[in-house]
Amino acid sequence: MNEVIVVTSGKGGVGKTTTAANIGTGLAMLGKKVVVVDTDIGLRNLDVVMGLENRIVYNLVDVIYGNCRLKQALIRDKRYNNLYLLPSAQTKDKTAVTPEQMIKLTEELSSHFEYVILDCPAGIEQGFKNAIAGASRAVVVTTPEVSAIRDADRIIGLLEANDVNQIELIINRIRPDMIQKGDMMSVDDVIEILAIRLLGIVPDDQQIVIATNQGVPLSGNHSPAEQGYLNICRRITGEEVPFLNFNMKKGIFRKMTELFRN
Amino acid sequence: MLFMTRNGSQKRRKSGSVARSRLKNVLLSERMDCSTDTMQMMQNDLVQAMDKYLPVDKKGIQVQFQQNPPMVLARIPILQEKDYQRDYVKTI
Repeated sequence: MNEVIVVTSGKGGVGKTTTAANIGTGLAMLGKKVVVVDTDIGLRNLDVVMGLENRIVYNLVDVIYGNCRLKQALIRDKRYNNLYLLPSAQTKDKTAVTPEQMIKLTEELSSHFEYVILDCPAGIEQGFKNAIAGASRAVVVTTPEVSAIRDADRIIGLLEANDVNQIELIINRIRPDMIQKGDMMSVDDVIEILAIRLLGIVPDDQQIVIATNQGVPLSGNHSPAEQGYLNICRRITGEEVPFLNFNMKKGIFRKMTELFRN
Repeated sequence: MLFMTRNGSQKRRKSGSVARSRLKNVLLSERMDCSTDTMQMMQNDLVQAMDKYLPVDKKGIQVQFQQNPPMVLARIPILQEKDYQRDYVKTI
């Protein structure tokens, strides 16, 4: 069955767009037919993260207004021919589209693609309502910080109220060293507070910045963050994958390095 | 919040667990639509009610929400007899 998944967070800057790009690319790597949709009208970014900014002719608003056919607005990825991007408009704002129009659009997309990944704007206003209107499943992205978790909790409540019933959590930018020292909430702490199913964890990783700079998500550098995203994609397809372990016990090497540091 | 470590020096509580307990409290009051002001009013009412029957230490009161199972925990210390008597004497 084809799925429409919205990537959302409430708070801005926690990694929604990066997550949407990586999930889209990862699912395409697994051989799925995927479209990633940038629903952030007026502040489009998914195109640059995916390195497709120079290929945009038409956008989501053009499709909804009937200025072009859906196929004309879809941009094929550079590396995977089963991955497409529907870019957002840069000149309009969130009120250009209604939730009803978004439902119609996602229905059409899900008849052509196995996975429709919607990149949701920050906030809980019109843009958020548009993005979740057609979604059957949600991925909530958060970081282990009080502000991001508080907003994630609010978003989970709103998703439930809008009948998005399958809600899963991604904890982004985990710093194992800080968790070890007790200066960051652990994965278990965050799950306990938000009380939803964990889809995956992504460690804080310079490689993500580099991949975003280059516009090439999941470039195959085997970094911990890339591994985290690949595991998430396999879990989305229903596979059971063990979680990356960041609750490492103090081994002899770690004890030695700490000894020298003090 | 302060506590003693093994070597006797005073150390700050780890920020991770501070974040965790702050979040738990704020989310519970948000989920129940019960603001900190409402909490304060509830706390004042509780104290007034208790104070009719027992010598309550008004400064030491703590009211907290707890998750799983959801409940309100009120910690209301009672003044010890000597403090109470001293207070009593003063008011005369």
